Amino acid sequence: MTEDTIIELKGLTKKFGKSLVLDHINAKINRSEVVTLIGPSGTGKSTLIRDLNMLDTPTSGSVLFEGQDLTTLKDKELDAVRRKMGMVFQSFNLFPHLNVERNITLAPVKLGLIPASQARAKAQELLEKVGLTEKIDAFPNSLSGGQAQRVAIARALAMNPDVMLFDEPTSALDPEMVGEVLKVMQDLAAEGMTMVVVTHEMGFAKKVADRVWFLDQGKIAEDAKPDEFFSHPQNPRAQEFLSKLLEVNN
Amino acid sequence: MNFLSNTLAWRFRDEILSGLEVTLVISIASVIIGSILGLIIALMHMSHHKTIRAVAGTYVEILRGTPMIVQLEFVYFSLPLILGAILSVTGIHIQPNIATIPAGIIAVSINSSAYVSEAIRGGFNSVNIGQTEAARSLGLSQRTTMRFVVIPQALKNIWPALGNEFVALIKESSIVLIIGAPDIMYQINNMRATTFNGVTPLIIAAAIYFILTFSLSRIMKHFERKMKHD
Repeated sequence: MTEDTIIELKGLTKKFGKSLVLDHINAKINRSEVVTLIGPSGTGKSTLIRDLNMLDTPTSGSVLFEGQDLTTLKDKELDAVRRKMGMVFQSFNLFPHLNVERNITLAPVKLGLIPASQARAKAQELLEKVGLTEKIDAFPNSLSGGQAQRVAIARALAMNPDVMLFDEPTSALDPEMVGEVLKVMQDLAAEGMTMVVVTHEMGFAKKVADRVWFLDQGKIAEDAKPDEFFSHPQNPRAQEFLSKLLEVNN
Repeated sequence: MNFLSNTLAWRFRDEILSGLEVTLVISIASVIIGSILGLIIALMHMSHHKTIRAVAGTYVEILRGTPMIVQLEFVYFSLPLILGAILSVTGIHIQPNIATIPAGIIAVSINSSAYVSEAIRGGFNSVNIGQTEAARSLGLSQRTTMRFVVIPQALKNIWPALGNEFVALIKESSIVLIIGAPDIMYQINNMRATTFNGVTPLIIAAAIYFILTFSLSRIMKHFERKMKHD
């Protein structure tokens, strides 16, 4: 393991009943790297990203985060690890009973990261980052999808994570709101945040990602730099997948 | 004054008031006991252990699937006999008895606990799993997630269902008259029998029950609105 490896997967396998969703995946992610997971639906992209912070428990194999095997940890020990891995969900999952400020500061205040007296200032600072300072007192149901997702990103950043996991962050958004969320993610990548992104946004993968993982039948069928992947895909399934996308776009 | 003192309600005021007292005692005790019991059953129903879940499920199904009148008579007539039989096996030969009001409280509480537990379970199930996942992904513990994310949302859903259940409980507690518990309906039936008036006593009964349930549902609504503003 090299020094700057932050996440390493060893023989990661997940079965749901009899179906094999992840099939002995071995892979590494380096610090400050942006990895996008792409591939047809049902190939285990979401399961893979959910296995990184143990929201889903792998059937076998191990997930090493900063050298620690997460599959051996107890529920309580995982809490400490999850603080360092922010996660953004397709359906935002903002807390509807709390306003934006409290959505962002609930976890860092309860976990003693920041004193309650500084919570508002911290929320303000994070909202500036995602361009939503005026929404600090708003409730989630008054936000548009794009705004909600940006608040969700601010909420995850409030824990000062080492890694950000994005599980199809723009799939539930109206097309005109996709850009504002991708912009925030792009800024984050530029700051050197380590990111794992499950996405169907090929433009984002091309422009922002350091590496593309093409998942097919529970395996990383291709692991390549975006320009190589999009211009000369090696894997036949990847070729098929990309040509189908082209058909749709033309 | 003359008019008032001639009315049936005034002549039977002592009986009506003592009936009201019995109804209130049974209702309030049953709401409290039924809620505590219902919470325990709901927690069992949401447990990770299959057996515990099955026990809670069976309890709820049986209570919801049998008439309250059967449950009430079982507590009042059968339970003392069963207890007596058990005691006689251990060599103690006494026949236990249960008074009507405690029997009423036990039966109404147990019956209500089944509905309360379903209201609580429904409230928790209505909170999207994504809420828990988001909270846990931030590093919040199971307990903190429950306390600050799940329970506040569940409560908003549970509260109206609970209000309906309490209103139903007050009305259905009138069934205790069949084991002779001197509640409102018991007194009203006596009034009807002694006066041969088939209309006024029942209107009085309806009015009293309506005032009770209407006030309760107003109180529940008040707190419901308060929760929405938080």
